[in-house]
Amino acid sequence: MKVVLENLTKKFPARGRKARGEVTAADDLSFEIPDGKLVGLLGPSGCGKSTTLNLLCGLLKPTSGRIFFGEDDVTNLAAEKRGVGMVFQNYALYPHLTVLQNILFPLQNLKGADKLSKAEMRSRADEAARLVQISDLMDRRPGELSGGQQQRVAIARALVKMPRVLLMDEPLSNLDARLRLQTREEIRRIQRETKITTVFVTHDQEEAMSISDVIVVMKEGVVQQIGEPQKVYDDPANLFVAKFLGTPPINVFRGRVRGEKLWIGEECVLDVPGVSDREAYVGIRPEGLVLSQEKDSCETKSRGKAETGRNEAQSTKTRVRKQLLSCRLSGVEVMGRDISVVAVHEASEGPSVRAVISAEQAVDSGSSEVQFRIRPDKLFLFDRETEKRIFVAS
Amino acid sequence: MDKKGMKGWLYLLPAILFLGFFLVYPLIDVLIYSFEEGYNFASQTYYGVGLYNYSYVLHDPYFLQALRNTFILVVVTVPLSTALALLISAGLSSFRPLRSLYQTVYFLPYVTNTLAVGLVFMILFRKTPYTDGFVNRILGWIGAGPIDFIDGSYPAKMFVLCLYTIWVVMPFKILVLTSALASVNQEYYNAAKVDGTSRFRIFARITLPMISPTLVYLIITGFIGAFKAYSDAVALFGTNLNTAEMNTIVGYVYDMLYGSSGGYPSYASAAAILLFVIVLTITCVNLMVSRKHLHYGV
Repeated sequence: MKVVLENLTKKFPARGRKARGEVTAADDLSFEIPDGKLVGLLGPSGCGKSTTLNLLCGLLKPTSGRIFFGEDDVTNLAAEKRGVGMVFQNYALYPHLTVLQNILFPLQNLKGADKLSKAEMRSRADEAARLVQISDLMDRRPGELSGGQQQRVAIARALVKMPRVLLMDEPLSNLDARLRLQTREEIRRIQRETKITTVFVTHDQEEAMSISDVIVVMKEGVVQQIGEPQKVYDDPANLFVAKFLGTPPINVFRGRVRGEKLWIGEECVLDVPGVSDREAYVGIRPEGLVLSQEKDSCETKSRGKAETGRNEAQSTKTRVRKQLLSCRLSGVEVMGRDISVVAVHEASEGPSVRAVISAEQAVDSGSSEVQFRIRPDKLFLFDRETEKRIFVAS
Repeated sequence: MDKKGMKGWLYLLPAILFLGFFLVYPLIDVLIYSFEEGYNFASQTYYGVGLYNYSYVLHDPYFLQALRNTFILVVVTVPLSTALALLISAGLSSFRPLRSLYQTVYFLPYVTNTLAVGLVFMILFRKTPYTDGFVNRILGWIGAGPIDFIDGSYPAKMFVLCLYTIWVVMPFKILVLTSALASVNQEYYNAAKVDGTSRFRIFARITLPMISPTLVYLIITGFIGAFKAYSDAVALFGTNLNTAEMNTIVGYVYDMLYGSSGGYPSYASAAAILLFVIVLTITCVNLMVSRKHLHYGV
């Protein structure tokens, strides 16, 4: 089932005597969720992602705008008539009912023509339980289950009525780190098997990136960018999106463009064809900073003495002057798989600059300065005022 | 005993002394009194030890009357007041406007003096040579004859006593139930709503089980409270309850001690012990039944 949001806006009235002005939790949202996809609504807390989810499931009524499930306008339809399954953040399993009774609960609500026989209900419940692999827990109560098992029961309860759309509010936030990894694979698998259009809300970018077909990045009720996770990561629309995606987060510098060359501090770091002279924010992904042993930049034309043969060959071939970013080294963090080089730069927006390099590469932690070569595909320019992306011609 | 242990007992001493004097000693004393036959209050002597006091009390028509009154009162008022309180608090929690006003109104009886309330009920229900009373006037409009609720037939008097008791005990129950209802996690209701649960089913399958511990508490304390009823009857029918046929077990105990027929601590003690046994039994049954059906979840 395709889900379409059309100029969807939700405003909450101001509360209390002192607070003035209403809060716009969802501001003119318009996007389409393709049929059978797993979509992650991603954003920091208070960005309106849960509000959006509640609008989709019908627990909240929009101030304006419309929602379509397929061709049906469900904007004014009550929650129970929309055919949505919802997994709540705290699972909302009824503690006095067994797992089986919990899963049966939505089916027992069906009336009239939809009413099922006891045997049908039981077989549907068994099927849902098998799907989430809790068949052997049917007689337990939620209090006797682990967090992960409760989560599965909640998913089974949402799936048992065969919803058109499955909604999940922070499905993994109540699980410990190890279980979270496992459960997100599980959600992916269940979604693939059922092919139900699924929307889930999360503030964890890693979670959203890892399992979503499409992510919707939100901030202050406004959609910032929609797309496949890798595309959004590789091609952020603005500084917020760039900062929000990726661990460790992107390094942001104050830079300026002069004569189609990008300067950070006193160094020219990259050619930026097609960009007019301006002040800009420069975002460089941690993997876009490549450790370099050379000492060179636009100003100092003299070559470094200790150059490797490969570098020499490259430089003579392309005849490009080395464009490097020098930072003060403050430490090296060993992560096992790779190494995090932590450095300081006076033009950096954050307190430190991080580069992720492979563990095989040796870092002279004794030296006080490091030079980085910058991978152009990992560098993004943003306008100083609007924080919108400035595109570099390639 | 080491110094630390001594210190601990020292801290406990005030409480032990207080409880010992005012709770444990009287309890034991009552038990002893109830078995002393022919106890003479003036000379503080008795003839023997046995069950005569119990036999006397159980054959005393006044005690049997009191027992009957108390049981009717319990059986009628506890379920009715709890059900009504549940209904009202459920209404209060789903009806937002004027909620605090209603909460105040419903709580007023709780802070009002029992005797003052009794007086108001007298005005409402009493039939005198000058006026039939307020309730009788209303009954007159619908064509029913005047009924003497205070000095009239037994069912009429019982009706007023039950009504009065329900009215007095309800505020506390409403207060407790309202907060119990408010403490049910909203997410359960949202989940039920998304699943298309009818309002009645939400109430029966979610709300009731969720607040059942509170309900059990209210029912048990309600039973105990109703068994100890006395002042309510006095407020309505005066101190001569035996003549009014409206005595309660506690009233009987009081009469045996201080009433016009008073001065019989042995009989009073036996009646008090009987009351204790009844309340203990019923509370145990209550707990056993509720254990079976209750799940103190989450």
